Amino acid sequence: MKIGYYVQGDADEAVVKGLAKRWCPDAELAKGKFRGASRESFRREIANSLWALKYQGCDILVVLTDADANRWRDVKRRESDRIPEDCKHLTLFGVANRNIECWLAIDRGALARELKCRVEEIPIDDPSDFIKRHFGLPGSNKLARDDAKARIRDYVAEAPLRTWIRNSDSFADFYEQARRWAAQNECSIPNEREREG
Amino acid sequence: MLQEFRVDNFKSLINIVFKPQEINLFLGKNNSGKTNLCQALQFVGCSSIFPLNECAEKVAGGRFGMTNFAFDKSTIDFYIRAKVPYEEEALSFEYELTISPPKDRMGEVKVEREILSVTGGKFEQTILLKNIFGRIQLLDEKDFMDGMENYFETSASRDATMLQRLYDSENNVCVNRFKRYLSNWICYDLSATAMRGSDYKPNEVFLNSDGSNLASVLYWLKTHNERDYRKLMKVMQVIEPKFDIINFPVGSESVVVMLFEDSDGYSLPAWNASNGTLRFLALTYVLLIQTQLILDSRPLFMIEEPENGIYVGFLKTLLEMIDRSQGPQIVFTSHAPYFIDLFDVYLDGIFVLNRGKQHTSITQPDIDEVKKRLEHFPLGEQHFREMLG
Repeated sequence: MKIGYYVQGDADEAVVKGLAKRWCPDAELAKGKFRGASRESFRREIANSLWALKYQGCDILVVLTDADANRWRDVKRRESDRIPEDCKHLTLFGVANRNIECWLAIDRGALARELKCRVEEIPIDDPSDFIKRHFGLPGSNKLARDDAKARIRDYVAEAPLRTWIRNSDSFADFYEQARRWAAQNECSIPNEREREG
Repeated sequence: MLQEFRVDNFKSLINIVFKPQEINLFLGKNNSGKTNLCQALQFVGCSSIFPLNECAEKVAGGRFGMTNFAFDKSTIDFYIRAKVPYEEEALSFEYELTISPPKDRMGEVKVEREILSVTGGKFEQTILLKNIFGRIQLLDEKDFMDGMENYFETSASRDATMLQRLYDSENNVCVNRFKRYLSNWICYDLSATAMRGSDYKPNEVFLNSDGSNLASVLYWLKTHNERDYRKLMKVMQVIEPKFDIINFPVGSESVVVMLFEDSDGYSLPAWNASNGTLRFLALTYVLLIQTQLILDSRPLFMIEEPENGIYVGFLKTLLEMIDRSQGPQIVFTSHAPYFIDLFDVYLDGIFVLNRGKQHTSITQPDIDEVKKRLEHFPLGEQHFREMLG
């Protein structure tokens, strides 16, 4: 199976890779590119990138983006219109409430154990900078960034997704899309709601 | 026109087969082998003019390290199949050249094997020249035309090809025809600094590969061919509408200075002109003027990253200058999406080079697939998104 993904940041990419490692460890991954570097460019090129990934033979397309200060459902409704009709049946469109780091922090206890910090240290409003800093994402050292991405990926691969699903509408929505796609394509994604841990 | 080129064990190139069209484009990431393939082509062209050591220094960055570091083979093989016009017909040449580069920095590049054969006219896969370890057989073409197959035998040192040693004679007209064709292969990797040079080289009409004699060739053009010179100025007006004339104030015998003058009479010395302007001027000269000077053989020009320094809106003009019916055969290399976009009419000439662990591979994208995708993506965008292979 080939999974095409279209994301903007390192943490988003690591989350996709973590979920892939958890659900489809043998899948080949292909990253969608876009011209420009801004959030506007990212959104403008959703359609082109999905087409490109589809042409590359991807079986499923994953888009992850952040809601930032907007309501995630509004963002999803608005941005979903950018998905080409002929890609809609292949696409999982995830919008993280506020940002992707908020998904990582849904289970604060598990995250604190991973980051070897106290739960109270994790900010409750926007943990983005804190999480990136503690995983070691910021900075220009590519090797260090790759290490940080691998660490996030491995954290997601083992994360308590039952808690994530229960406590985050936006993640639950993404998970349900994945389950639906799996059911339609005779592929199995574990029922995380019933999974221990 | 070059129909097939094969090279084995030259730098990252292991058993590469390249079958070019009239207009070709090499695509690939950095270090994928585009320049190596251009160098391999250039090396063979150069070997028809200069001794092998000199070619290695000029083209390959030195005689040591020419072979693939991971491949257990001491020789480099080149093969060329080309159609070259000769009188009323085209002769089909096949040229094989095997060389052995030195194992240390002090050694020399030597010829191991060199065979040139021809088909067409009275020739039927006839060997014109055979050079095995310096023992040479050369067909007496004059006798051959009279029905006798005589080979002149001799020996020569192995530091140069026999093709390089040959001089024009009525006994080997075809060999020299091929030699002349090969000697016109030029690879352009223009340097803005070099193009600002003012050393005068009298009667030069071929632009050097780095553009260092630009002032000399333009001076020659202006003083010998006013019509083509005006044509060149006209094209330059695309990028600078007031561009009117290039003056060459009289200097010493060894210096030629270019002064660009606009229609209002303002002058701009070449060393103050922009890199893009000089590059556009040099490429215009090569594509529009120089090609007319070697019309009889349709030479192979390789042009590395022509887009450098040039406004994207002017790139189309460069491609439109190429005379597809009788101009040169051209290989471009490029990284620029807007330049690559323009090749959506030359899809059969697109070659994608990829670097594996130890060597380069060359592929051609599926033209039907690329065409289908053109509805959504310009060609440069397809390259950016790695959809071409």
